[in-house]
Amino acid sequence: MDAQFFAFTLLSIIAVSGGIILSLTKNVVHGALSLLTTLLAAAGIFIVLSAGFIALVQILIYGGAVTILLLFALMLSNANEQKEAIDNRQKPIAIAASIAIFLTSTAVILQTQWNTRSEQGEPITIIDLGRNLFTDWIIPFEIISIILLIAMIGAVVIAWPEGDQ
Amino acid sequence: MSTLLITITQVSILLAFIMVMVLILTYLERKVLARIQMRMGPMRTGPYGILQSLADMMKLLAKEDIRPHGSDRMLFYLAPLFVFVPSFLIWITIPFTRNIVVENLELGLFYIVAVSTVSIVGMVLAGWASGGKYSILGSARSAAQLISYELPLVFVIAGVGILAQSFNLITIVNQQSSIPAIVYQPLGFTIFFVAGLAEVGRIPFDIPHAESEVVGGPFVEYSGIRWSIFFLAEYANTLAIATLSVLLFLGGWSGPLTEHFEWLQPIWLILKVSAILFLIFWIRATLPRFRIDQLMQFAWKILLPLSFVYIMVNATVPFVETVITSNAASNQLTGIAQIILGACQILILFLVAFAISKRRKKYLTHLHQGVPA
Repeated sequence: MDAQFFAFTLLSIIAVSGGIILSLTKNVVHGALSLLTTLLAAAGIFIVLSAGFIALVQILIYGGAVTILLLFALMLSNANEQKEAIDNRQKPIAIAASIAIFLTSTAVILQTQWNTRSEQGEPITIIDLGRNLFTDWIIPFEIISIILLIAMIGAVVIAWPEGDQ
Repeated sequence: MSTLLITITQVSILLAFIMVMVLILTYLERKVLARIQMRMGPMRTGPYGILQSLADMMKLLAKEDIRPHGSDRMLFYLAPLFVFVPSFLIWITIPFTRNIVVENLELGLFYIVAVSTVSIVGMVLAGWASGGKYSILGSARSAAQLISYELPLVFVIAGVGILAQSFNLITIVNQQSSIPAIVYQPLGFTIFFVAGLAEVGRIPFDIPHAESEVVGGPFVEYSGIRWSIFFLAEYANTLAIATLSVLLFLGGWSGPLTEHFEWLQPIWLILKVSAILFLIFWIRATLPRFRIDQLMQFAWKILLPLSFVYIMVNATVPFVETVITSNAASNQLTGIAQIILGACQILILFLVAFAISKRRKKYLTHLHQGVPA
């Protein structure tokens, strides 16, 4: 068993157990923390696959920004005290829907012919990434930035106190 | 397995080094502050009080470990680690000289930015896990400050990356071997230093956890060894910001005579880092705190637009240079481009300082006439 396989197994176990804790725990903040564990373990798997930049982006955006946003929303809304949000009559429907999604995705995963190769790929440098982003993919890149700007302005407009121009 | 052992040894040495540096740093801070306020500082423990930090550490270790009623047990114990571990992990890629570095990552600077954001999660968790209203308020304020000042910091780091064409810290320092980057990026250094001070929560940016006013913000309920882990993280971050300012803008370990004498490199680095640390302590002794609203306004209305301007100037000057000289291969600026870049940045800094002082004068005259500004 080589070091790469060992690291991959360890990280996968951490990621999956984080996901299991997330779906079983009743405490939403503990849930957010186990989500963070899963996301960081995924970043570790990216490092094992020699995709360092993607791993760092994963830590920065999911480990940092998204988790903090989630924690803020949970804390300020006192989600732990609203029991009906965690436990209500929609439970059977939710269980049925999750089992259906699980079975479908398992079937798809098992039937797909994965194009797996054991050779070591060339790691993509950040210079290649930047050059491609600003030459071949410049229009999608600019469209994404405009969409984000629109979303930001929309959030400001919604949060603006009424009657205060 | 032997490489694993070597890595573990290196990381342990780094951890011990940071612990010792934090002890020295707290002693120096108290002495410098005392001197500025015409006091003696610690004098009783050992000659000139040099054992004061050790005594304080023993006291903190021996204190009772209190967990408040109604707190979340697991998160209360985990939160200090969430704050400390990232502040230690960033040191892995910080080089002390050309050869002394644990892991010379190609994306070193970006790694530092990415890993240090995780400590904000620790701040938020610490406040929530304590189970008190005041600690939650403190963590909300702390997280708001950290997120706001993270943006200018990241933009400055991106600007440095644009000029250096690399995120590797050793490459960035090597490019400054003849002339330190602060000469042609004074604006970058200013934004980085100010945002860095705010990011580690030093005076004048420490209102979310001001020790003497709101007794610790998110850490109100912490005491003894768990509180000291937060303390350790804060000082490790202060040292990291000082070291990074030196590496990115002050030429790192390069200085006179380092070509002939290799052993001078760490000495130059230590001298420059000490100068920056002295500046940080000096600021602490001189400036009053920002109010929380002033803190946020300063980040969003002054520092963030300024960093936009900075990154635009930094991207434009090298681009124009490659267009004029049609030489895209070289990744270092020529002398003329450096002069133009430096002049642009000094001009911007001057304009902003002028605008701020004018507004301040207007505010003060209003205050004098008893009219609310």
